[in-house]
Amino acid sequence: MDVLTPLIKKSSILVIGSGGIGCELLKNLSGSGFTSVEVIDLDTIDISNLNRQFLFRSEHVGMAKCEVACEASRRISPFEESSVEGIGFYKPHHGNVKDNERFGVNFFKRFTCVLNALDNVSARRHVNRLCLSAEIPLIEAGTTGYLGQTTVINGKRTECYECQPKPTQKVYPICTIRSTPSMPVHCIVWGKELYKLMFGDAKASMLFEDTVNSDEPSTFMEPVVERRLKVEEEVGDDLVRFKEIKSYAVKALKSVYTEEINKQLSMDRYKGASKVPVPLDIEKLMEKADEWWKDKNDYPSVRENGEKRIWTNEESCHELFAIIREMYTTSTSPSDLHTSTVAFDKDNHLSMRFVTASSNLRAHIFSIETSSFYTAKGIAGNIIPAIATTNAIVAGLQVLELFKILKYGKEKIKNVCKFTYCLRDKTRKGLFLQPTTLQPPNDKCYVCRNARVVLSIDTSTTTLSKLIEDVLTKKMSFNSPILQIGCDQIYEHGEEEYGVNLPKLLKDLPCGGVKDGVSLIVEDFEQDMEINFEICHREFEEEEEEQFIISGDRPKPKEQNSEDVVPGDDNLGDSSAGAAAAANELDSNDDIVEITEEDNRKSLTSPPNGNGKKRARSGDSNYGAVAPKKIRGGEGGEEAIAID
Amino acid sequence: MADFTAKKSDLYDRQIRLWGSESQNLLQSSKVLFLRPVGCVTECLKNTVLSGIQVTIAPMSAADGLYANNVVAEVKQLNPYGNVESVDTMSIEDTVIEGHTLVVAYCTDLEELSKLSARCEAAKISLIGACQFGFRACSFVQLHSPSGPHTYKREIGKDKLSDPVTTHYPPLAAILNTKDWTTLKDRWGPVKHELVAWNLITCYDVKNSDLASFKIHAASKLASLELSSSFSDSELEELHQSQNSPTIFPVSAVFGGLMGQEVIKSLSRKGDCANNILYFDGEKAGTVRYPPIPK
Repeated sequence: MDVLTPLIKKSSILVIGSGGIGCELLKNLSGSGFTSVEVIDLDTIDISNLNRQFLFRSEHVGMAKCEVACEASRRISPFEESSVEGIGFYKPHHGNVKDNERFGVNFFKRFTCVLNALDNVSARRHVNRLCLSAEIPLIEAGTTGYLGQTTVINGKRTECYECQPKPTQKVYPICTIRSTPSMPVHCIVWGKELYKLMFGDAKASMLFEDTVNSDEPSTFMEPVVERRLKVEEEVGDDLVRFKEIKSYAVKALKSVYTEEINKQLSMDRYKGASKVPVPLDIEKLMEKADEWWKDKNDYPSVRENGEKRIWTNEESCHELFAIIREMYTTSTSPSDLHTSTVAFDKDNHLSMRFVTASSNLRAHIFSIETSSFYTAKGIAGNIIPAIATTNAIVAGLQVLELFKILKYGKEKIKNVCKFTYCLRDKTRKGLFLQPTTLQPPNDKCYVCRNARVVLSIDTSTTTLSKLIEDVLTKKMSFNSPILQIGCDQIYEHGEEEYGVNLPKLLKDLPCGGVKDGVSLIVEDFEQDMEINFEICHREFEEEEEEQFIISGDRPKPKEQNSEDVVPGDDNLGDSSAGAAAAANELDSNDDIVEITEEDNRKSLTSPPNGNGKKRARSGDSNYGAVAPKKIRGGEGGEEAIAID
Repeated sequence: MADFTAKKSDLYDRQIRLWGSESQNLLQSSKVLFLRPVGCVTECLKNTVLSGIQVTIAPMSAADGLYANNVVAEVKQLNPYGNVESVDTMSIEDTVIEGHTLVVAYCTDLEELSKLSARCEAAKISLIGACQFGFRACSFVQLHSPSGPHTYKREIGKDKLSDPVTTHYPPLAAILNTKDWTTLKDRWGPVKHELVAWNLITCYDVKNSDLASFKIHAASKLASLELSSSFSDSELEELHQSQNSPTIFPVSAVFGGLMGQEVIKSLSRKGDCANNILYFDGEKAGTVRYPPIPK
């Protein structure tokens, strides 16, 4: 420590994220004598953070994480001010790290080292690129339940965050959600969309169809959506109101769970299917509505064990009835559900009750296993379990790696720093922490090695806007892309003049179009990235989850079984190498799944609306994490980890 | 009351999703005694309180002064459900251990730890005794179930548990005995370097020693273990130096986190626990556990 003390005083640290890992990091930094530390975080404090984000108390719920965390760090610190000019003394920056106006490369260049305490892959990628550009070492960490890892990325001498493929987001084709669900998660996604249709931004729901312009809208469109207009105008005595609400609830639920299913059946849509859907008798299930009306504070989820056990169909109807009533009668709900909307939030009890009940009724129809409120919440919110101990371990290891960087200099990172796995159970050799040597960069990495990328995509059906949204933004985490064919620019993020190109098909773009064999250059100045895409025209089956392939430089990681998103599964079994590289803590605002919109299968229900707007749900399970022995081949194997 | 439980389940939601509500109930009904919260033991205390386990803290204020009292005040704020008590005793020997499921102690004096180990053994209370020297940290683990030897279940796949497994933990006296030490060779290859290092630094009173006398002590210890050539001069110097090092925060954090995992596994009786020594070197990472001494 004697050697370190003056080095600590001279260094300036940027911490990104002040949640589970961030709180631990800040405590370690502050206690170790670091004074010049700045923190970026956009999140606010939630009650479910308090079991591990120990710098926060109940009274801080709702406040900005970075502000409360910095205040606590200043209190822990034995010092009073920053020892490096121009750097704050635990200075919070409440905002998104992707906000280039505030946190561009020059902002990063002020620091000796960056410590990541993030909860999503997209932000990690962005920070990785900025650190590569600013030539600042990045100490990365992530946890999932008992498992976690810490690693160091040094400019272009070690593997960068993107040298190895990360597990991809689970994607569900739209027709699976709309017509052919086969797993609980399909019904839960559907339930979220139904919620949006009934109470949220209806037109953005993937279930929405324009009743006027559509050839054959689903039977539920009119009762579900148009009824919203009428109910809000309702006034009158209790009995009138009850009748109105009940009649609406019955009509809406019937259209969804009985009539639409009957219609599909009558059209032979499920001919040959292994399980034929069975419509529900909503009127019978709603028989007790007048009893339900009498006590509005009594409904299944508040009864004993109501959130843990699985509701009967009648109970699900009771829940939906109570929710509809709540939405249309209480003053805390929006009085005008037509113009103001209520967005889905997994932490909002009402919306999760709705999703649980509505998805279970649907699951019942399709003979799919039903879920409790608790389980549904885990799936709908893509909740990753998180505990204090794992965060403490990986954050402690991050600061120990930081010590090594300060002591030996960043040139030595590859030799002295380690990629360390944190395990729940010991390895055969008795290790709970498994350090492995840092790998050199992957020559095929398009981020740190500017490698060429082969993009296979259907150039005659894909629009530019879809390419930008699905491939460049979501898949490859570009922040503000600029596209060029040869020397000609065809698109620049944020520039209105290029807006005209967005709806065009790739092949019809100016300068010859994006066609088979064309070389497309995509740049992002904010991330200091430039990728040369070689376009390969390919047609895709609509069942394929992704309508494009990025290959050569980005081998497709093994698909995770979607069951892996189910939390509570302490999956220590063998998992793919890709999954292991990113056991990320993803517990904040990550949503459940991504839904691919695609041309509708003829044999299935009515077509998706034609406005082309994506209803994407990001979310990344990364759940089945670490199997260390398999991961790092070569010198990373267990035998190579000599302790002494 | 319903509201109260609802909030509690919100607070513990992310961990219940990991270990299940049955384990959470087991944890909440357990009581852990923390003796002398210093370094990694304070970190372990923090993790334990956050998880909802009840704790009693014996800060040993006479020994550690203001710092320890501050720890009690700080730790009490960590969990809104008031699961923290403190007792005002002056030494480990004076503290009543009965009524607890587990004792976690910071203890650099192996003789003192050995006495505690014997008391816990007699009372069938589990013990984790830890200490830290610079970048190194070490803990001794000795687990019991209330009715006898430590019994737990292994997790063997999704939501599946094994039949109960029983493991015996030798008391510290058995490990420190030279004879048993050498038998380590027979059960798991050569004696672990780390274990010897731990023994060397903890068995020696650093406050009254200079490097030269430390080396003499080490030489005789190593000779008795037939390990004379296994430590270089510079390594011995490093060990001696580490004894005088201040507590290093991130080392406390990592080791306190690992101890916390052991606390949770042992109290929820789910998963393999360390048996019976955990050792961590913050410059080399890697935490090692040891198998028990065979009967």
